[in-house]
Amino acid sequence: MEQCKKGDDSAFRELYMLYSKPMFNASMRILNNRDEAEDVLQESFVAAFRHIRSFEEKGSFGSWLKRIVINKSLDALKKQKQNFVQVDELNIAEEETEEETGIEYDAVALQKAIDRLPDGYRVILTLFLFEDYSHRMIAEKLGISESTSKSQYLRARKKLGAYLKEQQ
Amino acid sequence: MEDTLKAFIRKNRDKMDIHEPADLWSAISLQLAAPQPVLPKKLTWLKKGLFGLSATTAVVTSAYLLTKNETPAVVAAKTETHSYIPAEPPVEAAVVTLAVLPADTVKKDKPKEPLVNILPFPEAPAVPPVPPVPVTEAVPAPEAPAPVEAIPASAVNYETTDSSSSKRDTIFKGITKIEISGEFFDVDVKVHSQPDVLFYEEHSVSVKGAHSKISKYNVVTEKKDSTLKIYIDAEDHRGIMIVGSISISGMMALTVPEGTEVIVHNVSGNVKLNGLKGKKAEVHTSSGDIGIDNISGPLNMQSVSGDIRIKSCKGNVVMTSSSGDQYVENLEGNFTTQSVSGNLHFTNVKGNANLASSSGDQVLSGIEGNIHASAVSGNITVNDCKGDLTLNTSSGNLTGKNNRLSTGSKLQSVSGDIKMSFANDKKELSYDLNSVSGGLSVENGSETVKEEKRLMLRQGAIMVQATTSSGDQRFK
Repeated sequence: MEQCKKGDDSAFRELYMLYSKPMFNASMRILNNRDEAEDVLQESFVAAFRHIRSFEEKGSFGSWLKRIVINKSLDALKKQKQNFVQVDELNIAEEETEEETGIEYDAVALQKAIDRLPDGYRVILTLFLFEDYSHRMIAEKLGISESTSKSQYLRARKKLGAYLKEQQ
Repeated sequence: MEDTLKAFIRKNRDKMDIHEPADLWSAISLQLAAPQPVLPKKLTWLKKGLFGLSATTAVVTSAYLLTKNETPAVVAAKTETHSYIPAEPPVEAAVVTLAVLPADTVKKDKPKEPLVNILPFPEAPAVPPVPPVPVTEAVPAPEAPAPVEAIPASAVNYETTDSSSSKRDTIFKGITKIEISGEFFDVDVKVHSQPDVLFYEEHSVSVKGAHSKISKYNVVTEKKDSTLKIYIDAEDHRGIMIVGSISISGMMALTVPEGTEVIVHNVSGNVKLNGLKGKKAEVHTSSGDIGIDNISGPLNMQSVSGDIRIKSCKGNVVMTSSSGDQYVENLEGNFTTQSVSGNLHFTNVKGNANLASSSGDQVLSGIEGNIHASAVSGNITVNDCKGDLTLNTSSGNLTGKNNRLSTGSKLQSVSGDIKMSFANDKKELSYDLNSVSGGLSVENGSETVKEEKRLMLRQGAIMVQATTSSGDQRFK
C-alpha cells in the first residue's frame, strides 16, 4: 500500500490483479451486463487509485474498493432507469421462502440462478446477502421504502428457490 | 433458512465468482497517466460511436477522445488497428497515444483534415495542468484528495514540432522469396530483368503539439538462404503521447526478378504487386488497399477494410475481405471469394467463380465458367456470362441479361425478385419455377406464360429452376 501511495505502477497492478475478478463479479451481480460491469470496474479502480492517498488503512483496501464498486454499480443501474416495482407491503410475512426447503446449494448453480432473477429482485438479494446491507440501507440506496425492499427480497428468495429446484 | 443461504454464500463466495473480466489494466494505467481534462470511459459508447466506420485508420495503442458534447471515451490500451472517424458525435479534441498514424489517413473522397485536433493546452508549462479531481458520490470519504500527477514533465516535449526521417537503397543477391511485414508502410513491388533485388525505403515521422519522445522506426532486412525478410522494428512499441497531431508515412519499393515469391503482411499501408510470375503471391492487410496487376501464379489476398483490385492476372485467386470492395478484371483462372459488406465486381474471367457475401452486392459480367454465388441481403447481378448459374440470396434481387447457359441454372431467393434473360435459343430452355406468393412469368418468343405458385415449361434440355417465397420471377 505504501508503494501505491508513492505512485508505484507495479504495486497498482498487483492490486488490480488481486481484486479485479471479485470486484467484477460484485458489479455483475448488480448490473448483469458485461460491458457496464467492465466500465464500472475500470472507473472504480481509477477512482480508488487516484484517491489512494486518502485511503486510511483502518479497514482493508478490498472493502474500500468494494464500496466504490457497489456505489458505482448502483449509479450505473440508476442511469439505466431501473425501476423497482413498488409492491404490496401487506402480508409480507406470509410469503415464506418454503420453496428453498430441502435444496442443497451448489455455488455455481446458485450464482447462475441469481443471474436469472429479474433485475429488481437480483439487486436487492445481492445487496442483502452478499454485501450485508440492511433493508434500511437498501431502501436508502435504491430510493424505495424499507418494506418494499423486504417484500422484494422475499419474493426474490422464493423465485431463487424455484430456479434452484428446476436445476436439481 | 436465510442464515443457511447467507452462510453458504459467505463460505463459497470465491466459487461464486464465475465471471471473468477482460484485462483492463492497460486502460486503467493509461487513464491514471493521462491529463485530467480528458476522462476516458464508456467503451460501449466508443464501440458504437467510433468503430465500424471507415474513413481513417490509425494503429493505436490507446486513445482518449473528447467529443463536442464532452462525452469522453477511451480506446483500449493495446496495439491494434482501428478504422474510424466518427460521424456522430464528431471528435472535437483528443489526447492520443499512437504508435503509428499514416500521413494519408483520410480516404480520397474525404476532405483531408487531421484526425486529432489540438486540445486546449497551456503553452509550454513545466507540468501539465491538473484540474480539480472529479469526485463522484461513489467514492467514500475522499478527504481533500491529492491531485494526481499527469504525464511526467520530463517525458513530454512541448516543442511545437518534431520530426525524423530516413532513406536508403540496398541490393540483395540470390533472392527467390520475399516476406514483408510493412505495417503502415506502402509496399510497391515491380519486376525487372536483372537477377538482383533492389530495395528502396524511406519514411518520415512528424509531430505537432506537445508530445513525448517519438518512436524510432527502423526497417530491418534479414537475408537467410534465398529468403529476404523485411520488417519494422519500433524502438518503443508503447507509442508516444501527444496532444496535437502526428503524421507518419513510409514507402518500401522493391524491384525483383519476375519469378520471385512475395508474401506481404501489412496493417494500414497499401500494397501493389506488378508483373510477378512466382510460385505464389500473398497479401494480407487490415485497412490498406491491395492492387495486383499482371501477375501469373496463384494469388491469395486478404483485407479487412481495404479494397482489393486485381487486373490482368493468370492463376487461381482466393480472396477474403470484410468491408473492403473487391474488383477483378481480366483474370484467367478460377476465383473463390468471401466478403461481409464489401461489394464484389468481377469482369471478364476465364474460369469458375465462387462468391459468398453478406450485405455486399455482387456484379459479375463476362464470366466464362460456372458461377456459384450466394448473398444474404446483397443483390447479385450477372450479365453476359457463359457458364451455369447457381445463385442464392435471402432478401437480395437476382438480375441478369444475355447469359448463355450450358446445362442449366438454379436460382433461389426468399423475398428478392428474380429477373433474368438468356442468350440461348428459346427452344433450348425448360423452366421449373416455384413461388409461394410471387408472380411467375416466362417470355417465350412472342408469347408470355404467366402462372402463380408454379410454372412448368418443358422445351429443351437446359433446365432453369427458380424458387422464391414472396419474390416475383421474370424470365426471357
